[in-house]
Amino acid sequence: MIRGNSSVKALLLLLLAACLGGCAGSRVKPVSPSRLQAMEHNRRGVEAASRGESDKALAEFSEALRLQSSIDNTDGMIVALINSARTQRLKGDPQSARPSVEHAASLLDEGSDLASELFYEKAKILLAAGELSAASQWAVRAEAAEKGDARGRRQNLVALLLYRQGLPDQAKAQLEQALQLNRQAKMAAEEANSLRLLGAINLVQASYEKAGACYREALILDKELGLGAKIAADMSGLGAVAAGRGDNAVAVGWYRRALEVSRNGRDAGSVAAAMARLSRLYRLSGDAVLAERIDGQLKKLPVTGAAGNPR
Amino acid sequence: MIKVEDPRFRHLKRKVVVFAVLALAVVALVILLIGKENDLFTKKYELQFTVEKGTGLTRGMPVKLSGFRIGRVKSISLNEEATVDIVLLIDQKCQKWIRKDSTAKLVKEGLVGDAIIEVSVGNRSLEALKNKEKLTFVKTKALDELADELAQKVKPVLSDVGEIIGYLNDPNGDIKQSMKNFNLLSQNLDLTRKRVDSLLAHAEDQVGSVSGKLSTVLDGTTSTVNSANSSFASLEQKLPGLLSSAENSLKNMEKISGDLKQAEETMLPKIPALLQKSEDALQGSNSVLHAVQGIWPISSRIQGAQEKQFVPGDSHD
Repeated sequence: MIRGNSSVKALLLLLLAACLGGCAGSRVKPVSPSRLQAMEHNRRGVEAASRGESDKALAEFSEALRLQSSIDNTDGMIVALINSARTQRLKGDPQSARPSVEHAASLLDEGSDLASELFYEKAKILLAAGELSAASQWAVRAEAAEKGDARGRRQNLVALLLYRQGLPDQAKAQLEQALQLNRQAKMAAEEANSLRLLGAINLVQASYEKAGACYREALILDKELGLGAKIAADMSGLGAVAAGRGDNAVAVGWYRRALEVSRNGRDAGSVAAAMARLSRLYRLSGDAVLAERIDGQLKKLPVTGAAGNPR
Repeated sequence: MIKVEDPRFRHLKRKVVVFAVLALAVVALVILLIGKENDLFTKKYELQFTVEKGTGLTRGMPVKLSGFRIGRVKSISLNEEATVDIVLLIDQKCQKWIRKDSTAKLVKEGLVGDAIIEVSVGNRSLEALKNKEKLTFVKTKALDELADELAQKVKPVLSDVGEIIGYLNDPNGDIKQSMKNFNLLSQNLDLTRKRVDSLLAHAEDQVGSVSGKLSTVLDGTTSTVNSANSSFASLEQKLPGLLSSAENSLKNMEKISGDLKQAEETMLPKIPALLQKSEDALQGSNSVLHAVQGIWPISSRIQGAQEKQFVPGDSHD
């Protein structure tokens, strides 16, 4: 009995000591000032890139790279180079992105946890340059090297490349897996990407029910995330599904909504694509006057690149 | 049963209990002090107001009355009209000062201080605002609005200067016309001099006709002099008004430059000290922040600086 009481008291004292010890302790791992400064520049660069300020982001990544090089921190250098390459690619300059990614590859150690992100970026740059076969190889390597929860994202890219290479069935199989992984990892944007591409494949294969369901699910997710370009792509997909069923009135409704979203999002490429679809649909419905009016508006638009729809 | 007891462990139970009770009492006291510091135990009531934009307003922002903290911003939410509803949590004991005509405004404490919500003391003859009642929000002027105001004040002066320059440059205006008349006069005088020369040269032979011609020339000179006189008279008439207008504009400009000089003299010496103070304050805040970040359990909640942070890369972008 006495021993039992003593154990309880000892436990109580131990708990109190642990509690007070916890108050005094610190878990922050010390990091050198140069490295902290470099990390801060990298963080600012990521924020600037997210706001679309590419030039500012590139300047921050360049400073981060300089500081990481000054302390020979290879991982930090690779991160700065990948970010720099990604920003240049998203700016629409994949050629300038190549040297950064090649430099990063030359610094990469075997088994590094940065390998997957680097291979993924290399695949994206090759895809932007139209080199589908090489891009596919690097995307597969990125998927194999992935150690975290981004496997679904990597598989989405592999699937997109397979689809672009004319292999829809293989792409579909990849997407089914990617969808599950993205759901498990709660990566809503990637889940929507899987669904949108599945919708596109089902549409091509004339499985309108499945395609419509996929696009609708993707639309819900994209609306939650507030991604205007993706919302417009989902709506265009739903329009294409309706057109495939022969329900032109519903298709026109979806295309008009997609056009409105793109116009307000100032996405000139998507606006042009939506107008072209609408014009085609009006012409098919025998409404040549409306089709010509839209064609006239389309000619007045500034010349831009293609829309961001994977189809 | 023989019981052997070490004298050092005598009263051990009591010591342990006292130690534990003391430790718990200290923890409770700390909680009480923190609670009191954060007004957790004071009675509060809510006031609300609506603003067009929530810029500069944050949850937990202090609410002050006559420079004393009387509450904080409880919540900020976007309503159906796309305006922002602000709910304030105010000490009950300050209710007597906040009346129907009290106003709230977003101000900065000093030039580089924190933003706060300042509530004005209301008229005692009016009823005090009750729980969940609406408070009037007064919009304060931003720097760009003050600059606009200054620009509006300077505009009439610039317009006056423009008018004077326009008046001086007008080809049909008095100044230009007077200058033209002067030119004409000098040309006529030159012509007259030539005629007089020629007259003198032929004076001996043409004495008879000279008198006639001389009278004509003199008539011409007289008319020219008359024209010059009228121009001078017109100029003399217009000049006081012109000079007065120019003088007023110059006075205005002098006043503005004086104001600017005074502002410069007042502000310039303060700027380095102000910058130094701001830097010190920032460094101090940074140190405090780092110290707070290191305290358990906050340290466990804060993620360390991330080295492997990437630009978001969408697979289908």
